[in-house]
Amino acid sequence: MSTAGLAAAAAGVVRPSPGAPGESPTGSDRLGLHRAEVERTYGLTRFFYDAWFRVDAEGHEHLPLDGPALLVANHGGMLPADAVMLWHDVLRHTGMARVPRIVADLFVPRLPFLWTWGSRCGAVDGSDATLDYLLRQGELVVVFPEGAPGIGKPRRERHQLRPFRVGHAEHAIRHGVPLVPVGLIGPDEQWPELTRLHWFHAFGAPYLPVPILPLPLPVHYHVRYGPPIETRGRFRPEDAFRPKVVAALAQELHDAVQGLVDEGVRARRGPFL
Amino acid sequence: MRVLLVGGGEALGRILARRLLACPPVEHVLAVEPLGGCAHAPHPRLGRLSVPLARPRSVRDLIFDTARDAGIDTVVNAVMHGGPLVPGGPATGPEHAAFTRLLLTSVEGLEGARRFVHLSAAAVYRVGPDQPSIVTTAHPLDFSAGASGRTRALVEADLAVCARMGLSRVDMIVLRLAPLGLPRALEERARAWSLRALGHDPMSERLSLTGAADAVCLALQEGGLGVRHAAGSDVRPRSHASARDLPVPGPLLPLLLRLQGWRRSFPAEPEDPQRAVWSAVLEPTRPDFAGPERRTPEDPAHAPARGAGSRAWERRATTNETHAPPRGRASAQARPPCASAMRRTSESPSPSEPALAPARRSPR
Repeated sequence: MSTAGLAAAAAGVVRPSPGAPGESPTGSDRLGLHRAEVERTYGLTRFFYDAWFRVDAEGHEHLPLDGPALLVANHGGMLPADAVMLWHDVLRHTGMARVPRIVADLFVPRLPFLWTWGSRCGAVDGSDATLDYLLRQGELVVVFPEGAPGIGKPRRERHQLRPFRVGHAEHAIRHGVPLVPVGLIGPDEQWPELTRLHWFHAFGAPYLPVPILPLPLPVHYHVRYGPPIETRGRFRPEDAFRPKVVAALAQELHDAVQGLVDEGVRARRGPFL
Repeated sequence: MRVLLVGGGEALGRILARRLLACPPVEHVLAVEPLGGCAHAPHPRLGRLSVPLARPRSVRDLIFDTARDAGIDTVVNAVMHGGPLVPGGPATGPEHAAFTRLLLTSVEGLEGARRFVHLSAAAVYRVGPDQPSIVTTAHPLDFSAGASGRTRALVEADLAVCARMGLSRVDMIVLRLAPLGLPRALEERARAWSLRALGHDPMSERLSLTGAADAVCLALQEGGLGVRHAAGSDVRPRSHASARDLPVPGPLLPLLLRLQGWRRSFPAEPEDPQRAVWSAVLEPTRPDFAGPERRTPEDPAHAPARGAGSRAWERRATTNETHAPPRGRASAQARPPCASAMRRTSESPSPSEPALAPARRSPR
């Protein structure tokens, strides 16, 4: 945990996420987040964060310690290990007081066991109503606007972001919440893919990726938080119903995230260093 | 306010009548049961009546004779949560929806009627993996061909009221209730029979009968028209709500729940099979619509089994000065049933909470 995160937690300036046990006697919030499970999973992922992927993060001063916000990150790596590492990083640098609510694709809630675990750790389904609810509750929401195309892009197109979907920009304008671009460097090289089984659609999955290795490669992860893009004052809530405005904001975010990724790729010495 | 309380079954009707009598604006309550035998405690301001509601003539006589003579200005239709309308009939069937339409038409013709409250249920909403976990009033209703007869009846009755909303001189409120729980003693017994869903572990939501009754009181005091949600305050993973964690795969759970026919003897709604697999939690229209019986960790009967990690979270939360104080059941019980409503109506809503929606002309 960073010194800033520890100090913030000790000073009590970090507000616990809604649904903390003081408010929710059962320890679960209305969407299934369970604090004890968050702590257990945090401990389980520590090895991958510290030893396997050796996550190197910077720009935590842009991470909002209070109030609703949207973290917008790029996606890659066949399976969403980048989401787990980002989840761990936010927890670590906010003194575990802000549990990032990762928005999953609509087919993910169909996955048994995995979704139960994910929802207890704060993952939510990617629907408008759920996102509206979370932002009204002042939660820190993480979205990957590239979606499944981003996670499945071929190796030759690594570090090139897919077009962003626009739902996150619409919600940010409607609720007046800041958008924090996050560049993840490393996921695109983490897990070489052998082939894809396109006939496999169990649980609503678009396809089944077949990896070369049973475990991801120990690439060096870099997480870079960019300065937040404010929407309050810049947009009016009714602008959320203007597609061109929303698309322009989504493109601005796309460029910001792409810029962070490009900077990170230039700054690193290699995928494993 | 003189209230005609129609249906409600034995448990909900009894509690609802008691709560309504405790609300200051309510002068008189006339409770009507289709089959008789409703065990309402005697009260000087409570009238009891047994009317065969399955007969249209009886309904018209009830509205245009008895209710008119009694000066009824508010009608609460709880028949969708009651028992059968005819001896041996289903707990909720098509005849309930037909009765609701007839009652609605009659009330619109009743001179002096100002408000009609229809108690609907969360089962009207479509639930599935492609639907949001948080159910707002914009959530799609369940029109699927595979919906049960009970669900179809609920949707039909619900829409019948919604269709007249804003077009009638009578203010109409549709109150969609979260799945109703049982009285506490029975709930403990029923919980022992609930089965753990492995694989999918949806959030289980329960609204106590008292919470439902209080939500009706609040809706009456609030006035206006529109669709309201009365959500359950007790929301937890289904596996946590089970006292005996039997390893039953999630997809088998609806079948097993249907086999629990014995539960029909309880005055509660049957389990919605879809909700047993997929999460769908109502978003309360206002915070106090989530019921006053918010369970506190100090309550030994409902203290959940939590690990050391959870206790650490609690310590962290309680030592944080900026943390909002819990709205406990104890504080709610210290006030009369409708005191919280009276207090809240004079306050402006908190910025962090959605403001109470104004009266809408169209619910959807």
